[in-house]
Amino acid sequence: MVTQWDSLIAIVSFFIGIVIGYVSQKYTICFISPLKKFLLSPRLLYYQLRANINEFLDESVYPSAIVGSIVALFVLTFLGYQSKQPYLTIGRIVVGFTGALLFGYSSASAGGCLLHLHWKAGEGDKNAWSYLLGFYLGIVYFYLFLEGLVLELIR
Amino acid sequence: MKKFLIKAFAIGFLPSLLLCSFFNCLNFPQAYGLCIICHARDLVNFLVNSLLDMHFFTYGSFLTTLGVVVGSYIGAKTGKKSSPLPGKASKYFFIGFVTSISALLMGMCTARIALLIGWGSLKAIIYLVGVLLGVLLWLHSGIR
Repeated sequence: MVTQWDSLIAIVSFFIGIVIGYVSQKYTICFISPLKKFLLSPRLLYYQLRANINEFLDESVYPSAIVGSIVALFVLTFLGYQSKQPYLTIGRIVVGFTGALLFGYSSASAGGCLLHLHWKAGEGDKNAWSYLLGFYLGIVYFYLFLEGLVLELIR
Repeated sequence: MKKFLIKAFAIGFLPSLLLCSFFNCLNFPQAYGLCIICHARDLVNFLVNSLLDMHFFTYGSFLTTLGVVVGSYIGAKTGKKSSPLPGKASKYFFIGFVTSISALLMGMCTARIALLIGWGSLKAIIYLVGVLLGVLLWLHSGIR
């Protein structure tokens, strides 16, 4: 049954999503491309940073997301929110790190991160829609067949 | 600097703050405002639970992923499009399948990793190193 709470989450997240999608498409935001650039030519990034810091920041993705997040955290702390770090277990880290390795490899071969492929689908790219089909089926497959195994490994 | 500020506002500030302004922050994990895999999982599991009366894990009916697609559609209609993805659709289907499973193993996507780094999370830094190694493996593989 859909409650008022669910409807509110859906409406707010939908409008946040529209803003994110619009900005991502306009500024071609991707979280994997900067990593590729960094690994392929770290010196080039260094020289760009030294040559013109404003231009470097304009092209960056991670620094802008991190700065925005830090400002949001400051505002929330000012409003009384207390941030607590979650307790880390070895199993959780090992499983997560394996997932991260696989995620990096598969995202690099897809040519972009999840956000990139979503805004690409909005542009009408057929390959991006094909990717999304596999992506959403993967979620159902994970919860039907793999969740129990992963929970065992994390414990 | 203008682009930097717009991106910082839209990707980092807005998702983190609005989620907490409308709802209690403590109901969600840290920096949960922008996470494509988490919100896609929440939406899929919410639909599965509602339609098939099952009990998959979900935080609610997040429509962020749908909003991203609609927002980029508006952006593409009003501005210019980027170059299309090369290769076969079947390849992308398989990659999408593997990527969603790997992201669920990790419990977050690269967008949320960036947000969590801003919140000082050690886990996010470890996972970013993992993603970086994965990209490095791909760069050194014959597939590329």
